Amino acid sequence: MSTQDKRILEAIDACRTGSDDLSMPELHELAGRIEQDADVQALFDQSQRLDAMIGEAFEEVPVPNGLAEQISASLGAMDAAGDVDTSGHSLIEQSERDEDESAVVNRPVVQNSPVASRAAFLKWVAVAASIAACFTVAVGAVHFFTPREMEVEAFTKEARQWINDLQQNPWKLDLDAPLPSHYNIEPSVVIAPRGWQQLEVPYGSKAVAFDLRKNEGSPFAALVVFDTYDGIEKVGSVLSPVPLSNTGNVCIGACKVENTLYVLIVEGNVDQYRRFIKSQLPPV
Amino acid sequence: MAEKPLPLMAEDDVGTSPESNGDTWPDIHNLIADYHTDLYRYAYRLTGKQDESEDLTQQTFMIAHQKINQLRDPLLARSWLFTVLRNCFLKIKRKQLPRTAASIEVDVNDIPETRLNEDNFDGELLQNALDQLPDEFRLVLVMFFFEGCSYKDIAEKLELPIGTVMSRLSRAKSHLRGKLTTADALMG
Repeated sequence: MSTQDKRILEAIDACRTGSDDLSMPELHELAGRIEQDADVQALFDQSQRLDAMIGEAFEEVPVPNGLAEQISASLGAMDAAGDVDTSGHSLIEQSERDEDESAVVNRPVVQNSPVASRAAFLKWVAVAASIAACFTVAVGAVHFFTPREMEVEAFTKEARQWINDLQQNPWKLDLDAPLPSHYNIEPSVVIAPRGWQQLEVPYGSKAVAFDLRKNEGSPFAALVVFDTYDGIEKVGSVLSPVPLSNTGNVCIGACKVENTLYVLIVEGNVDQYRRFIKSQLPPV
Repeated sequence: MAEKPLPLMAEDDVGTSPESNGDTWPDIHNLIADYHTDLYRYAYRLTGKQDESEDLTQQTFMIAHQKINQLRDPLLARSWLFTVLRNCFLKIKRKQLPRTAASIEVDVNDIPETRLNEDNFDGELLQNALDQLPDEFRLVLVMFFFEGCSYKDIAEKLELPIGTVMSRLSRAKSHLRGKLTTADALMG
């Protein structure tokens, strides 16, 4: 193979399928050869066909179930821990400080990999992630207003409707009114309620909502507590820093202590939601 | 005041700031929902291992979470995340034992006459062929096929001469074609 042939083949291989790469300066020679030589044209076409098939196969990778939930839970744990990178430098910044990447694979081993150095953190993050993933799945399996399993999406949709219901009725400001002891909200949130009201829910369930707003003009924030859901088994015992739903500027999370179900509804983003809950740091 | 662009990104990857174009700031959970599959697949093609791919994907989002204010155009989030993942991968590989190009059998630069049979051509077969390549060859292939980078983009992002990228790309593609065509012929 001559040097020129090699150059032409490299140029052919440099062209992306369906692109206008032939207009690039380094490929002008190839463009000319394609016009003049039918064999080069055929070779180019064949390369493009093969590339199209290879490109398609690149996407064929099965993704593990629950990966997104696992990542979200890890981030939640990281937030709760107040950022794991104690060096003061992110990995990006560290990468920026590294040497020329052209010599990447020719360098000798000098120290442990960054993955290994983060192994301890990732291990407990993985545990937290597993718990959060189980929690998410469990909430989807909760029997709520009907004997059938209720999806998380349906549940959070229902919870959004409570916002309107609660806003239409006045909050009772007397927190000393007699309430069942298991309405204790202590295990769930860190904000003291400023009021409460009974929430009308179907199927004979009982629910009380606690107003967690700082004042009248603050964004909506409430903890709704249910006490009659005996069929609920697999719900986390604490509110996760990762809400079940965070769309439409409303975050919704849930947990269960014994038979009492707690649902936190906060108008705002995830960070605002997290201000209401207790952090759950796993042991390091 | 607009944030300083992420230095690892090419200038044309940075775009305009959300403040200037009215876009909302991207939320990390939305980024996870939108891109975790792409990132995992990208990582898998680079590493060939499920656990390493999960770690890389997770690590990428952790960094993205810390640095999300440096993403100045939500439309470029995918490219930005790929860049973060690629740098994590490179950083890991710098610490590992090298495999040189000479340690594998790289075929001469020719395009096989036989056509690949699509029915016998799958992601696993491709991964086996990729795994035989040294990292620097595999990386340019993944950037070319998965990210859709041009040879020029690859050269800029990896800070390599264009000629080096074109050579690696051609040799790596030749290797793939050789392996996949052989397998196809055996199966056919």
